[in-house]
Amino acid sequence: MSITTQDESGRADSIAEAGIEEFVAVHYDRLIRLATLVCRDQMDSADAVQSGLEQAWRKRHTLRDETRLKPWLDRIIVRAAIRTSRRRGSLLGQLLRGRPSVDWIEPIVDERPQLDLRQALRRAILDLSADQRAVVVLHLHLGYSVDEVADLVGAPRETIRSRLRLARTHLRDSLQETER
Amino acid sequence: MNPTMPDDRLDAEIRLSLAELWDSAGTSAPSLDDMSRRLSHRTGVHRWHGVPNPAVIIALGMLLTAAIGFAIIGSSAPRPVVVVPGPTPSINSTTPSTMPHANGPIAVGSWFHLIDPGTGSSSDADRCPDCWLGDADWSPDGSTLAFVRTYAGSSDALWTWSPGADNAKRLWTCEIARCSIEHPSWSPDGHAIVLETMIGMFEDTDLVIVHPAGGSTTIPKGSLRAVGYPSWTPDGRILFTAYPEDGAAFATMEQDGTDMRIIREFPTGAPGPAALSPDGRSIAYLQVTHGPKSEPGIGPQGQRKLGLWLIDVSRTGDPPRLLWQRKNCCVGAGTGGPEWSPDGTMIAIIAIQPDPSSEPPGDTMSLVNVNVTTGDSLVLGHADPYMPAWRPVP
Repeated sequence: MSITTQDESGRADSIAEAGIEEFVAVHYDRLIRLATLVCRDQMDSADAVQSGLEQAWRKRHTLRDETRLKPWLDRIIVRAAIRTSRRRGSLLGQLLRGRPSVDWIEPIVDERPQLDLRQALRRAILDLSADQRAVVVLHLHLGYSVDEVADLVGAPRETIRSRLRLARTHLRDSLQETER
Repeated sequence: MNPTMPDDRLDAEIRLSLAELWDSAGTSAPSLDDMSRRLSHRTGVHRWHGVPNPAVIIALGMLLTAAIGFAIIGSSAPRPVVVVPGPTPSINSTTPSTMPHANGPIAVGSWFHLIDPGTGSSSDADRCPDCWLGDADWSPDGSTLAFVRTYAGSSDALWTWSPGADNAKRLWTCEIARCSIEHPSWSPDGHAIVLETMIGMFEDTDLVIVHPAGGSTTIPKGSLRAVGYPSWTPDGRILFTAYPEDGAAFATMEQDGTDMRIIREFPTGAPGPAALSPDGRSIAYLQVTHGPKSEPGIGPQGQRKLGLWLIDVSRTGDPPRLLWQRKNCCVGAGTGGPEWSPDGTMIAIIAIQPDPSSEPPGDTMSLVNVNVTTGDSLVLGHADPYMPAWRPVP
């Protein structure tokens, strides 16, 4: 038994109340989008969300303030996604990745000249490191403040500012290169 | 789009691009059967795509060698129940694992560890086949473990298991829908177990006494809004946290709910679990406090500090004594413990805190052993957020 001293208006979303099935149904879509933006790969993001939801369900007793459910979940998922992404990029990950199971190759059309700047920006976002992308998504898309992002990803505030600065620089450079 | 555009315009463009990426990233939720199947096949390291690279064979050989090495020296991977019938009391703790379960889509729980309280080391001696659990407690003679077995989507049950036995036994099931069982605690004479039942999340709570010989009794809670964290006093009364309309209080009562005596009131704030020392003279409890937002590196909710506090039962008017504290801690205090060692010299707790120094960053849940005299603490290893339990020497 534990209590919360804060508003319990988020009760409908409560983990214990909903049960895992409803819990997954309610949160899966948003979390898979978040994880996909960080991981870049839908299968990896499914793994990240699954392991994150598993972790969230297991730790559900530690959430005593239900109004914090959304950032609590986002924190678990974004960290799982970063972990998955880093693992994928490791030497061991590349060794284990294996070859594609198809033995034919589609002809590749060089789309570069046809790219508009928005497309270039999307590509550049996906070229960011998982750490930088997580910060950009949380701050610029989901609207968390820098302090909240620091809390979510478990890094100091200055590190978050630095990642944002580097991400902006990279995205600007990419745009500049596209315009040439 | 001008590449030299100011940050705010660049951010606006990034937001539009992120929105497009966000829209294209959706997918439908998998069924629980799918998730369960994926869990059962998850390697913990990687999911493979397509045909493995030939170098995989070499890598697998290295991994296998490493795995054997870790198994020999004792890795942090989930392990079965271990039982150490040594001369020193050991702390029962858990580490996370999730396994598909025959009676439900997913069973969520943990493996037991028995841990040397001085070193954090553990050794394997036996295995409990059914110990996917929540909170647990050893009988006073150390012969039987009572533990909560959790089932996703249905109510919890209380099980018992004796070291050396092939199977655990279901002792009592909470027959109410969406019922969680928490904090089982053996009576000093070993004839009863008191526990807390909770419906949903904080909807309704009760204290129930379960008799291993058969039967159970729900303790009347009178006008209290809620009750929680039950344990026993040395003379067989129930120590618990009472929640009237406002605030909370540590209190004791007889097993039939009569003769309630308030030990200490908390008009504001939410104390976590409390436990009486073996000699009945001190109460240890956990509480999370929020620090000033101005401190560096603190989130917008303010700095959270998990404190382990002591109250002298004979001088309840005195301020509590802070024995141990961890900064940048968890959202709530109801994580695990405190649990006094049988000789009253140590208190085991589970502490949660963000761990930005770990690679990759993540939360850390640790079993911590705190010296009651000095406040010195020893982190004994990773654990789940359930009650640690000292096993008396059988």
